[in-house]
Amino acid sequence: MKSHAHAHELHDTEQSVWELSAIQLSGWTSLPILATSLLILQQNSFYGSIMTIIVGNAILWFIRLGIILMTYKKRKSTLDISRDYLGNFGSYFIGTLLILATLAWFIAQTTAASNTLTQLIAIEEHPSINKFVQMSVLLGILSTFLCMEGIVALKKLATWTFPFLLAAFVVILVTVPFKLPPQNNAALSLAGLSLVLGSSLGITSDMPTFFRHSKSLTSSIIALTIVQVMSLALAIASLFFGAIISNSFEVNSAAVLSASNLLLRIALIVFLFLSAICANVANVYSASVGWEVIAPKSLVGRKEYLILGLGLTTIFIMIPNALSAKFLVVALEATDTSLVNLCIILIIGYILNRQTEHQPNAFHQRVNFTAWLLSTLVTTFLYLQHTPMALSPLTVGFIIVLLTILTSFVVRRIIRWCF
Amino acid sequence: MINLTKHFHSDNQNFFEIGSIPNAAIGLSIVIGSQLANEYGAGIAICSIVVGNLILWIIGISVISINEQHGNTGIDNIKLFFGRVGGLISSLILMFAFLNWYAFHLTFSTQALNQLLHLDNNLVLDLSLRFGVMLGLLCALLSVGGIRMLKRLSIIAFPLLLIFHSYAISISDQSITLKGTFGLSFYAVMTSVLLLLPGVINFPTFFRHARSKAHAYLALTMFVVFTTFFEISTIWINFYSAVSGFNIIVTAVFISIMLTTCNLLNIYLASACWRTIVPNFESPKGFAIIGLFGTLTYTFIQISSPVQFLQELTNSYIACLGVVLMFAFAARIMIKHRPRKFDKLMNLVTWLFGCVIATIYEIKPAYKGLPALLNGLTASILFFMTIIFIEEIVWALRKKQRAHVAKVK
Repeated sequence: MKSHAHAHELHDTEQSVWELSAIQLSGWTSLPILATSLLILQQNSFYGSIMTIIVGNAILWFIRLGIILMTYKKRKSTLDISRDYLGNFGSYFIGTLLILATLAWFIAQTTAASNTLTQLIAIEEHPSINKFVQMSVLLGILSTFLCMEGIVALKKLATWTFPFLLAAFVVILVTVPFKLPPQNNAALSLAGLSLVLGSSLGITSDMPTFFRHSKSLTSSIIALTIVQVMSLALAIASLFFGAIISNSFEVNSAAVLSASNLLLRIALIVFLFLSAICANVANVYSASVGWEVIAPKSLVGRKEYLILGLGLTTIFIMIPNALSAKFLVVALEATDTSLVNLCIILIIGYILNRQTEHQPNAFHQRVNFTAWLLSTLVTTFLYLQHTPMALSPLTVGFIIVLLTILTSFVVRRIIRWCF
Repeated sequence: MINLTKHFHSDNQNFFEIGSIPNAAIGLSIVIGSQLANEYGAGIAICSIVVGNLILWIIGISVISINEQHGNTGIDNIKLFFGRVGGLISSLILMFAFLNWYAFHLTFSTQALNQLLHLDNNLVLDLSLRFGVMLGLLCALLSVGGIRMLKRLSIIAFPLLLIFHSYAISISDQSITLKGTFGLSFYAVMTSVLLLLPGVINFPTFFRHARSKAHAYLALTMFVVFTTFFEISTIWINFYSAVSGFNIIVTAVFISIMLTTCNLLNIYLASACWRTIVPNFESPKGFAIIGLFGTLTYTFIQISSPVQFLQELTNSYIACLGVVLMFAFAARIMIKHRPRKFDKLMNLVTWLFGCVIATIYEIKPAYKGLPALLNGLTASILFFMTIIFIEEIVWALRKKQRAHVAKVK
């Protein structure tokens, strides 16, 4: 089956449960899961965090199921679905958003991984040599090299590295100096729940791009369930990482770099190195669907992965000096929230479609696009204020989307009723 | 699926298009003019460069004419005279050399830009590496376009370089006195020849895209004429003396263009070598991999003394290869009765003998560089002559004996 948005034929459409799950877990979700768990732990008690993560993952499974049901019939990517619900004009925005989100994630993940790896790998070099740049270039070039074959290379990379990632994760878990806290408050935290959903819904809206390669709907649903269960286990296990990672996401040198913790150090190096590369390759594949919409035809095809990989690495190498960490965080949050808003719109649109049994028409597409644009502008503005928000961006976005859709329908009814 | 190879090859290029490629991608070798002028005086430098480039023209004509079948790469020609093993060894050496030059050009260009822009030392350490990596990745990205991209860039870059040289000479306040009379220096001629020899040996790799052999010969002549001009003009150009904003920008653009075209050519030539080991390597992916590899080499290895040692060694090996190739070509024209297998084996042994001698001398500090290379060359030539001498004497004696036996019968 062909997706109408594609400039070229869709490859590799017989992916098994194992392959689909490995791509999601090693290439896509491992680092965000780790970061989210640590953020929840900063706001909540240990047992309360576990509770929050369990509930959050259960909600996520339902939402993701809906997203996957949208993609299986015509093997649609995120952008194809966005075109259905936001129209052609809207799809250009989403295409650009996917590329910007990829750039932000590429920079953030490679910077974090390079910083930590430089700290963990002690090589005697001339003091004038910038080890951070060397490590960044190595990660960037390896990612570019591995992303050249698109989904085929990503699948191979993910299925081969996933066992190593898992093994490294288990070793970290066993060797990390962590003591279980005494039984304390295990209440569900709404702020934590919002964090789980906020950090994962952005990824969720990108899932169709990967799940369109599934061999059947059953495989997709089984893979999704496995991904969710494993994500839950990973997220809970990540809470133990609080002992070695500080609130600013830096590795605690005293705990890791001591001679007695050599195994922990090696496991951390393997985990970070493989995760960063898998995440970058998956990011490039995700951005490629956006690239297909906005790039000239001559630059679309197999070489698009190469252009994206090289372009991202080049921008990344030149950008860290020009951009402040604060700006990068805002860019990350803004792009992520835009994707979360997209996910909300897609889910609402899908539910409305199922009820009315009609495909979205031009009016619905315009309303959806307006809702997405409004919610994205407001949440980005809120992030730029740098002030603590009473409502989470997820809630703000959700309210704006709902209000826009409801208002437009009401206005339409009134106009029809009047004329 | 989009057919990537459909628009990738460009096999109908005229002499200007094909001649622009080596001229635009001449790279850092042009500074040889000022170096030789400082060492031997401008008169000797000019004459030596002219003679050296004429020798290169003869070598170029030979390597293009080696195979009657138009369309072979440089490595295909080497295989024809050295066999499969010889082709493989030479591919590895040439590949190493091209990668090394890729990194070397990045290092030199970033240093030149730092010097030109008078950047602060603390800033330079970080920015220089980043800028070098960026240029390396840019070259890798552009290389995806293959020979077509190289041709297009060269056609634009070549006239620009010509204008830059003319402009730089016209505003130059540098004057090097013509020490003594015009004359020749053996070392100066050899330096001029050896600097471009590896590239010239590989000329068939991109001259195969010429419309015909006639266009290839004209392109070679164009290359020699303009290279001579570029090299001699550097005697009067001081790249780092630019003070006005306009001149600094013009020189920075010149260095960037020169680096980009030169490294694109390095990638293209290295990919032809890779093809010997990995068939079907000449693809956008293959080119990009070489560019990425070159950038990694630049990032991690930089130009240190062990790398310089290897660079000098590979230069000697390539020079020996070129000389043996020429002698073997001449021998094949003159002597028709040599069995092909024996011919290839002897060529390979001759080349390897020269490489061993060059390595022995390269290890001795007193003979490093050009002396080691010349010793390797001499050893190769002597070995080749000896083999031919013995072989022909044996062949003549055997033939005479056979004729005698036939007469007696």
